[in-house]
Amino acid sequence: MSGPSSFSGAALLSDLNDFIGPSQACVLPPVSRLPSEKNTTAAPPAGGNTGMIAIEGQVDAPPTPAPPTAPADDLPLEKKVEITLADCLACSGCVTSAEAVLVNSQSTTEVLRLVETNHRLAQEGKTSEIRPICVTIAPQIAASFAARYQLASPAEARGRLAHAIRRLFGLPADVDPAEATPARIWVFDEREARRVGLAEAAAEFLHRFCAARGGPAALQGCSTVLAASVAGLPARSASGPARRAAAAAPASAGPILASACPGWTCYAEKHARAALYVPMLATTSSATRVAGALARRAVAADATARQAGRPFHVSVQMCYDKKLEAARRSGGLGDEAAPTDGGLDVDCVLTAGELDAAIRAATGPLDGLPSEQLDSLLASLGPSDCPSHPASPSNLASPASATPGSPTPGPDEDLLSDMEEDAGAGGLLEYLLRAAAYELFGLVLPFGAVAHLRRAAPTPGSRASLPLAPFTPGQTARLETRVGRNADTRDFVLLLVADADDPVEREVLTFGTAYGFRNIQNVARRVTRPARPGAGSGWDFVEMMACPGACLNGAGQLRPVDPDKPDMSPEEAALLPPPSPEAARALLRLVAELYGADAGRTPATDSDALQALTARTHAAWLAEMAWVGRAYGALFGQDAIPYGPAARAALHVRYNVIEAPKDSDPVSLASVEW
Amino acid sequence: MSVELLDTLMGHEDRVWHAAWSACGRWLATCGGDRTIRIWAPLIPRPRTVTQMVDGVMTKQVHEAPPPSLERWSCVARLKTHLHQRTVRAVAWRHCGRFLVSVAFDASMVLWQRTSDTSNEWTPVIEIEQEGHGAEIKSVAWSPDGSFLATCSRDKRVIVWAFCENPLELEIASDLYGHGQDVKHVAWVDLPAEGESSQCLVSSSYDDTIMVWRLRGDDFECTGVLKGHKSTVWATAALSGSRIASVSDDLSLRIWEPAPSQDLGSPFISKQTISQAHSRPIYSVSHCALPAAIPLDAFVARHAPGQVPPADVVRLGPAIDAAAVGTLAAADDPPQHEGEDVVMGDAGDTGPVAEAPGPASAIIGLVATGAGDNAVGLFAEMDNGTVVPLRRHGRAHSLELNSVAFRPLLRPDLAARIPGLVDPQQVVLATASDDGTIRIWRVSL
Repeated sequence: MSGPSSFSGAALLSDLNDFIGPSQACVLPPVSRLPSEKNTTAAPPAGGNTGMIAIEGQVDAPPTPAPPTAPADDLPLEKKVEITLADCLACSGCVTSAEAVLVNSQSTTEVLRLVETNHRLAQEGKTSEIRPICVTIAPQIAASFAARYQLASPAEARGRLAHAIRRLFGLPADVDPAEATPARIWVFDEREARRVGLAEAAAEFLHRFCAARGGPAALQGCSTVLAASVAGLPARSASGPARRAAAAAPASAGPILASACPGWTCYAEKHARAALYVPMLATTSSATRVAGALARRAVAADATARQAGRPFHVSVQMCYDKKLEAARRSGGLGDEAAPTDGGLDVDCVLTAGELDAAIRAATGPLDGLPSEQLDSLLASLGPSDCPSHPASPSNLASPASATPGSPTPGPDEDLLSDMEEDAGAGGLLEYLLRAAAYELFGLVLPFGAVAHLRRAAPTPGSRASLPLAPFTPGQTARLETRVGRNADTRDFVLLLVADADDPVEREVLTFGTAYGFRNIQNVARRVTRPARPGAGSGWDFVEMMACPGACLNGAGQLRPVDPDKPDMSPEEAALLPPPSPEAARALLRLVAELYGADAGRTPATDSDALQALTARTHAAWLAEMAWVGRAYGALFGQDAIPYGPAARAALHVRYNVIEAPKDSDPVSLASVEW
Repeated sequence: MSVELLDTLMGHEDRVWHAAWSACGRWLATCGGDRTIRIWAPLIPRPRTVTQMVDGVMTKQVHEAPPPSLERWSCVARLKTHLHQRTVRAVAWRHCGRFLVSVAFDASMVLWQRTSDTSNEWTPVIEIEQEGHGAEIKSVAWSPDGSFLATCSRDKRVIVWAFCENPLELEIASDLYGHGQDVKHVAWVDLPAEGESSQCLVSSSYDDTIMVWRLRGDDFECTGVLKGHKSTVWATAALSGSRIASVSDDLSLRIWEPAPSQDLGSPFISKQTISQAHSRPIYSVSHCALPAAIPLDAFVARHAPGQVPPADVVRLGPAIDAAAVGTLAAADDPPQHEGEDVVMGDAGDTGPVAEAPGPASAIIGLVATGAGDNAVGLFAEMDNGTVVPLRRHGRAHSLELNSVAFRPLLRPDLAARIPGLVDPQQVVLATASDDGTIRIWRVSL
């Protein structure tokens, strides 16, 4: 098992989340699990399990034995106690959780145990209890593997990983595949699920943005299926200039804060000011969870798994905190919540480092393995059979869009690449900005615009802007980036001269990034304490990510290797001192380069090329919106729309304010002074 | 030499945790368990009017006010905010004297601004309530140029805040993880480096280490971990020549000096250890650079003419001028505890060790320590980079000393421009204690 040793040297997320070890401040066991223990003075039980914490990762998995890595001297509790990840989510004793709990509850060992159980059940004829295994691969880890094994592209890494994962979690060698049920391991690309997740997030943004600024009247641009989510809002303002003013007015409510990063959401829920942060969080599930929801449908729809039980979804991620996110129950939003099976969208999160160690142990290093086709999440949904959504433009050419449900079984790389961004944060900011610019102001943000501006203004305090090509004569518009104290905190501001007769450039949309806890804390302070009473924070949306440099720098990514010993196993490497910051930075640069190569094109700045790119983006965007309409129809029923009732039940998460332990708790250290 | 108590400042209603002088030396800020911050200055006596019968006539006679002296102090401001719900653990002045930061055990932090240059009215202008640290804040320090503010906490973090005056803003510039335990203290040391800011941050912790942080690009990075103390390192102080003094629960005072080359893997190396410097944990250390060095022979001639150095001085090695050390060790209040060891370098687990220094020829500064044995320790900082015990003043307070602070000694031309600065060339030490008082001491060499 790969323990905390696989933390990347540059990434600090895991370190920083582990504010307080379980020995010091895991207040849960004595408080809520062992209430009777407080007053007993019983001698500790004899034997080796003194002070062990048994980890129970999930309800319906086989019981997990006490982790061998938990050092007994770290855990002074005298009785065996159990802490589940759900407990960690519900407690604010430490800011997120102890690493030992996370690392041990969701592991390759656990998946391999399920493989054996499935095999046994198949032999016993208990087909309906078998849990088919499906695996989704996050794009960030594909880039990490590509960099680590010097592969040409993340796509190549994905292909090899598909092979390795099917071997790793495949049947025991002595089983005849013909007898096995089900015989296959599904491997999906998370970017496919992200198309649905991003559309849902954009619809949520438009809905909340317009709700704060005068209802549907705020929509001044072109309408796609995303706008349907706004249609139900009560209209509040008049037409003409007043409408325009409403759209440009600062929102009185705070900005919408991204919730894709579990490090940040756990912090937000447990912070002393959680009551202020939580209402600002976007509720749309992260791509990780959307992938879980879609993968389950895809597997269930497959003939080979039709008789089996609930699929077991494994997600390979760049970050240990994703394990914590996986333990969060789905269930959608409040009154719209549809009855669910109470299950998890993700049953097990493995980090890139953990998967790498398991692959090395089972089949040898990834670079020696062949490549295989991935399964497609969306092809098996069959959206092409559905009528297109009434709100979708139906008669548009779709140059960049593949026809969903095309004969190719794998996902369409080209199309997914266009939707890609290069920061590794998941593309939320760029997608939302493109959707908002289009729906609210009729502006097309060319593919790669955000990546281009990031490169054009890399240093603290710098600025760069990109002209946009509005459809309306007389309008001019540009997107400007303004870098803050460091490159991880910057704003993207959409500036618009709406009327040639009134040539005043107005800031109509302000999106921000805050990567790394130092920036998160600054943004969190600004959004809850405006400079002037009544004034907004200035942001409409902030992409909050706990890791400096966002998710490519996740703590679960592969660590740099010693150039002299490239074949060293993670176990061996763990014995060496942590890699130097220089080595970690160099690897991160390479990962970002590969990830960016996977991403969209750089916009040309001369006007002809820009026009062409804009037109191409426009067509592709409309085709994507048409696809979104069809996908929602296939997933949630014919009239389903983004941010509609069905989607809100299936694709959203409720975040809660979690109270801090009271000072009077006997185990709380708050009253100690030294 | 002598150490003389000038005044005992009473007013705090609970233990006093910390004392800090403004850079000009005119004001002393203190804070403590009563959740207040107090600012003290020498009392300005008022003219006295006496009415008496002179030759059968009632006469008013105005006695001119005597000049303010270091012997009488008064509290000129008392700062209290609802934000600090628990003990105010530390205060720090920005070099300009117009801003003061207080940090508390409830994780809150307040930036105070003086409302005008002449008044002692302060307004809380930035209030940070658990938006930085997640647990007790233990220490706060402004960088020498006032552009950064460092804080540290039981949450194991060191946070560097960037300060902007216009518009007034404190933003987190760096959020530093590295210590394995409660971080007790932060201090800045000026350590010149090629192509980099010379402002270097030093943090010390319950994990027994000292970590050194430097600005690289837009973030601070750990450039070294100093190991050697056997227990909690309660505080550090910057000395002359970019050296550092550290004090610990292990009763020792250690001196670290800048590494002669980068190959040693650490920006500082162990220079000297004075074990058993106190009989209880040492909580605080302060340094005062003398404007003019005092030649050792002059010092010896003045204080102990003709004295023969005791035999045990030999174990100090050839590093320090034997006669001088003998003289110094024989100061008027001899150490209460035997076995004060002075070890040059340390062959233990400290990593690289400095070469033996050449002989000392002058005293260039003073180092004071405050400890749980209620005593103040005084050490001479020599021109060869070592420190030599001068004397230990037991029973400085009736309870533990939490903080010692030398008033900054300014160059005479600078001091002359500061109104209200009393006796600027006098070495003055402030001590703060669990007994609820602050004491002001005159140190004469």
